[in-house]
Amino acid sequence: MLVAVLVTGCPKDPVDPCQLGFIGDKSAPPSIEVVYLYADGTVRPALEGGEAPLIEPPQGGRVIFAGIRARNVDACAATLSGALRDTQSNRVMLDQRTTNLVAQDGGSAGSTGDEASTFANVPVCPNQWSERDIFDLEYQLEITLTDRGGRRAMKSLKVRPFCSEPEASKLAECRCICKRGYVLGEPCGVDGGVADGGP
Amino acid sequence: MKRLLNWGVVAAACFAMGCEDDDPANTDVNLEPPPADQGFHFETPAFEVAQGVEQQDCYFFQVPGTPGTPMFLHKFEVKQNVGSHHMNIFRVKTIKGLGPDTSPDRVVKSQNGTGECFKSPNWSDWPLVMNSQTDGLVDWTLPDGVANKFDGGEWLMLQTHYVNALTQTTPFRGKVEVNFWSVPAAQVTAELGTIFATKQSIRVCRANPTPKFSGTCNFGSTNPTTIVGANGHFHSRGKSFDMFQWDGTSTTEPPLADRFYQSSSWDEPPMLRSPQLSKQVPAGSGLFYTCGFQWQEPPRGVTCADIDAADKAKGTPDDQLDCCYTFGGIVEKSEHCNAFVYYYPKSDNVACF
Repeated sequence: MLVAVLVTGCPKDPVDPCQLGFIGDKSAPPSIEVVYLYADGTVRPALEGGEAPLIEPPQGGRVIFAGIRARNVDACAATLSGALRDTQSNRVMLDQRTTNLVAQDGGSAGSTGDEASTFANVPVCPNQWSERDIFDLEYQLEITLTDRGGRRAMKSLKVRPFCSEPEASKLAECRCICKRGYVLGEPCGVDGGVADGGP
Repeated sequence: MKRLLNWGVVAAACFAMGCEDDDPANTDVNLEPPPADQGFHFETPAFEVAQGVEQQDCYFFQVPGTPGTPMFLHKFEVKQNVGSHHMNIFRVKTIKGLGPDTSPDRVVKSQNGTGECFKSPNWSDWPLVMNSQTDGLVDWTLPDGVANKFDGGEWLMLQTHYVNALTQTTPFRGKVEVNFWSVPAAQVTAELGTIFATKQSIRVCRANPTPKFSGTCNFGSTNPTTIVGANGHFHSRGKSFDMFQWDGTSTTEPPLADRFYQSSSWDEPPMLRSPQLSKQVPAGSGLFYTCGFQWQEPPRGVTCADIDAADKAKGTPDDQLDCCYTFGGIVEKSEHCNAFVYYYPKSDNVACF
């Protein structure tokens, strides 16, 4: 093998099918801003203390599509992690995925509203993990981006998830399957199954 | 290909005339039902799966007895003709596009990704009962004192998926039989709980060829829990499926010492079950699972244009098309990352999407 390498030289690196490469300044620390995907396909910034939309994804249930705008990172094969933490119990629900970030206006790269797979699909409902309603109460959203070179940026925000799809049946289902004490398969009528509206 | 054609001729002849072949690949499975006072039996009719077809059918049937009379199931036997991609049984809950009354013969048949039996939101709140991805017999007796509790008259749905295409073949025809064995209530000390977890919006692309997707699911239990069954499900781009015991609060992959399930086989994944699998985990624990994929060219007869067309139909813009395998039930063109876990004592049947 050594002889072959000496005679023919090292094999060329295979062409990287991901073309975007590094975004920003390699000498600067990586940075991210958190964004949400809404049901209408728009992407909007996440704000400290702000609302986080709960959306029905293809398989059912409700998720928060939490994405990023990043600088000073390798955009290819980045690992995006999104988690919603109940700050009272410390319990958490997590989604982690490898994704190629997409070029954005202004010289950043990140999640695109055209493709939900570029967002962390944080699976929060059915609520069988938190002893509080998921909606209209404060939780902590934790987002981490790690590029394939090991550069890491993290952001943690206090957020208030809300049932964001206004259609009556979807709103009722959301408030039912995201309430505290939800039992899988229980009837979720138009009243949302919320018995007492308590915390 | 010649072998496939030969199988096709044999299958057609057998379907018309019946077969007396001892080869399991050419024979319908058969399970002797339990005595009436020890459980019940369900079987699908034999059905043809033509070349190039992915057949997914949802059969509805009821637990014997009257409402208010519980039945405790302690042993499951599942036997399937060769060619099964999966068999899942769920309890019927909220009816959307699929239910016992959808058709008079209590079965909803779907082919090649089209039809209500392929639309997963239809059973999104239906608790898992049992699953098998194994041809032939799966015979599972739960640990002593453990049983899955059902109500008399309760509706169940058996979903069977047979593939007769390029990555999987059905040499004869499809057929599934299941025996549900019961025990007296006095013998039950703990109920069985189940977990069905799936990663959504997965995407395996040429330009992102080795993605990994991870998720969590909490048992929701305030007591120690024992995991007694586990299997993972993905399609042919799937290379590694791992499940770990998880503390319910960490956001990083648990250490290898906490891994209790590992699969690198997409078409015959291991189905770990008691007594071989019996892992006790502390109160508050959950499941952390990961699916690792390797992008590959589509199987013969399928092109990247076909894959892109399916992706585009989901609303993906042209500049994002990249021969990407995305979430879906079609084995040849899409991918899954599903975890099935069985545990006791039950806190609830859990679904994590």
